[in-house]
Amino acid sequence: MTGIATASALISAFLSPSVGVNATSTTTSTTVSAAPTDAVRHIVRYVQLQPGQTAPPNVIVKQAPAPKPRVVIVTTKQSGR
Amino acid sequence: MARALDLDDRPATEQVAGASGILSRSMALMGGHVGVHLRPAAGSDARVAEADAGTVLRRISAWADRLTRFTETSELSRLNRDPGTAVAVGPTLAAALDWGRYAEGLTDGIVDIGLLDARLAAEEASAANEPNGVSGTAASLASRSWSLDRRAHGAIVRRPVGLRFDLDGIGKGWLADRALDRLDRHPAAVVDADGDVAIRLDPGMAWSFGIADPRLEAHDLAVLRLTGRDGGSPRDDGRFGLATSGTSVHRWDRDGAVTHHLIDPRTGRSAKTDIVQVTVLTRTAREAEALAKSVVILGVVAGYELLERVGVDGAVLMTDRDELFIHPATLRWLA
Repeated sequence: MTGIATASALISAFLSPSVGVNATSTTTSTTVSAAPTDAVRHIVRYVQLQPGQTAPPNVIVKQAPAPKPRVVIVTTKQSGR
Repeated sequence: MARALDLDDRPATEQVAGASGILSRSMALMGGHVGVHLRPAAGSDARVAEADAGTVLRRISAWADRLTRFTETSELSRLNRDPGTAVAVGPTLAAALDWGRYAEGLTDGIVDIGLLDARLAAEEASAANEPNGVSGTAASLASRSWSLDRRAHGAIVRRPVGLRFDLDGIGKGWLADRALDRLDRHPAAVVDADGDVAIRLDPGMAWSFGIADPRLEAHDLAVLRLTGRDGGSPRDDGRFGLATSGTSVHRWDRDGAVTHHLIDPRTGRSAKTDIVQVTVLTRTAREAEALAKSVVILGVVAGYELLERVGVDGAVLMTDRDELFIHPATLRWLA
């Protein structure tokens, strides 16, 4: 799925730029020159959308894996007698 | 005579092959439900787990029939009716009374199985809309004056005239622990005695357990994910006990005053407490049950001191101010 995407308020999603990204293994990479006059280049590779947020243009939207169902064996409670 | 089991009639093989791989069986008992949950060993015959679950439920039913105060034919009721001051009892009742005596020491006397008359007075006063309770001093003195002479088969109970026993506050956890001892061959086993839960998990096993929210039906306050331990010390044998007590289920509002079923042995009346519900996680279900009830009776400050003094694996306390206190030992288990 490419292009503009809208995230459902109930669905978590990961975003990654579709073009112009120098791929690294890190989630966020920031390069800062020692000289204060040099340009600062920020690379944001992944962003997790919060409920209600809309993905910006030119990103790939990936559905987050569904959480593994949690099986509660027993619930402790105040007894019936 | 063992009563008919209210068991799920699906074939065991179907349940074991399910997504969870856990076999569960339950029956209506002790005013609630008792459940057995097993993970059979890999490659084992599912019929073995099925048979073990049924056997354990029948044993719990038989033990409960001896210990209940709600039937006239139980051994406990016969003891309570007997006018004698020295009465012979069988091994199951003797063991339960022995545990009650131990629980009294564990909780500095807050657990007191000699308070049946105080509890009945609270219930009857509630029904009649009268002040509840008997003399606290009389109740405490009477309950501390009984003794148990263990014999090869059972014991002799020695007590003052008229002293009657109530195992409701300590019996379910004790039954759960006793039943769990019969399920050693399974890698994971749980006996749920209507909310008082005995648990054993082999190393590598991890099961989740909910803590019911007393304010919302079918909601959990928290979920504890317990894991089997390595057995490097006697304390790390993979056994846990989980129990919850509180004042929000058995309570009566009378003229603006709230009474409930948990009797404070220091007053002989329903405990005046700022706690709505307590859950305790420790090594056995019987200790968890006794401690949870004691903390409710004592209130937040003294109750928390008791938990610190005894040492527990976790505790969650809810107050009547809607505060939630989580004992630090709980944090490692929170899912």
